[in-house]
Amino acid sequence: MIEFKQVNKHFPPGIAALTDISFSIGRGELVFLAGPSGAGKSTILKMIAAIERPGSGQVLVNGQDIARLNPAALPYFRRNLGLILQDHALLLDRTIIDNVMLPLLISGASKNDALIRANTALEKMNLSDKVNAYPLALSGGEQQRVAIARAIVNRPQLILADEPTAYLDRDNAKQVMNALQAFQASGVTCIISSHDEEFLVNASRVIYLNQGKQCQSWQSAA
Amino acid sequence: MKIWIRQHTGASLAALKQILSAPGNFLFNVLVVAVALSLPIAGLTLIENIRPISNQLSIDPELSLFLKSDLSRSNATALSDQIKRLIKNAGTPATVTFVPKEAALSGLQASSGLGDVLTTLGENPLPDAYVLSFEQHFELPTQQSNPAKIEALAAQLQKLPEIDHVQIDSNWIKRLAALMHLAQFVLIALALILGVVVITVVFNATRLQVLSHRAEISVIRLLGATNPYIRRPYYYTGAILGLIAGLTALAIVALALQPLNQAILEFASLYGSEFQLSPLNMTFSAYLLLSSAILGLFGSFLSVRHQVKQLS
Repeated sequence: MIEFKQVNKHFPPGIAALTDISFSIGRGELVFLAGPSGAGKSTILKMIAAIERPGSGQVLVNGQDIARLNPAALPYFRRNLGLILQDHALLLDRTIIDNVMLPLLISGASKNDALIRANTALEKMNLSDKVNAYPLALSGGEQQRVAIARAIVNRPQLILADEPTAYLDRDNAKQVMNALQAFQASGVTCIISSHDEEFLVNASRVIYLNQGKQCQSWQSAA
Repeated sequence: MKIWIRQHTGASLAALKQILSAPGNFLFNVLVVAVALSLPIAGLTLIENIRPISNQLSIDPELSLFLKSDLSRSNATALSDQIKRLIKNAGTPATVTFVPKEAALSGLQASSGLGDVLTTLGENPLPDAYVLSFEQHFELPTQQSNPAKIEALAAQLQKLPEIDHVQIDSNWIKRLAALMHLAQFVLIALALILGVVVITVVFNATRLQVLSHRAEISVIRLLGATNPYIRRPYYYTGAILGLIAGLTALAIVALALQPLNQAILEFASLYGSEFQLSPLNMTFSAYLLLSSAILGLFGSFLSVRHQVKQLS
């Protein structure tokens, strides 16, 4: 489903963000990207989401080279992704339900249909009682779960989560990880960047990065 | 089609929401645009009110020959043949009408509103006269086809001892027509300049709006929003701004007409007229509203295309 072929990326003034990265991820896999800050985890996720383009090499998503993706086709490509960002990226002037409905309304769904599906997604995240609240009235963990609800509401084939447990306490972090593992179990490919050792220990596949270089990959026998 | 309608409905609602979230800014922009629009609308109102009057005026070139007041009626009527001969020689076909001073006075009493004043004079102060209506026509606002011939004829007629004064009646109409033509040009130039002002104001207002929603645009772009989806609410905001500003400008002009009409009425009543300025009719107003909405839309279109491109 996703393939990185000798990918390099430099940011001005010549800082190497990724050096010679190659890996492939199959459909329905749950893969962790691990490594310290500045290792290149977020850059890899941004490349998969076509936010960044590789300096050299190829990034293929479903066989499509994202560097050659037509700008007009980009929005439609992103509608098949569920993006969970570290800062949640919620719209603060809109209610939780409005935030979760947004990807559906962008895709052209009717308001009623969007409302039903957004409520279902929020129910899965145990946020049914917060639908009319605004993001700033929620805790960090709740905001992250809203971001996950928004990422899954469009039933994407691929979920990209950038440090989804970074600012969460243990309980909230576990809830978020359990939710992501549940999606993976239903066939959704999940790529999660994290440096949380507890989750990495139990992970089925981990790609380790350091200073933009792929230093180690590990896959469980299962 | 359903999705298209749904997305446009959503965009128009988002535009209304944007407007209501910062009503002060929106109203200030409306006021600036309305003031800019009210100037050409006021000029247009003035021209549209004067145009029917100027259209009613005779634009055939005419010469009025006022005869000496001591000339007898028989000598006055005998002059007709001599005048016709001069007309024929000048090569300017015209109909010659004798206007006896009694008819001139009754006409003046009827049309000027000065009937009471004229009756107090006792005797008729007006002379007998001839009116020469030429068959050549002026084409407003262009120049008359053969003015030199008529002016030469007027000079010849002035030399006749029976004639006291020769007046070329069409001159002031020509001047009015030329003035109207000039006013129209000035109005068009003013409308163009102020149209640019409107576009600039909307451009800037939209630019600030886009910049204040920069974070939101980045987020919805990550969620798969296309550029038209992002731009649409701003287009609607620009068009609504233009439309409301147009309405406000029409209201400003209509309100300004009230005190102005009082002054005009006082002045016109001195000439027995009830002339007043009327607001523009519904069709004209609808066209103006459409134009101001289009100007708003165009301003936001230019701004959003530029800003969204920069943000991407």
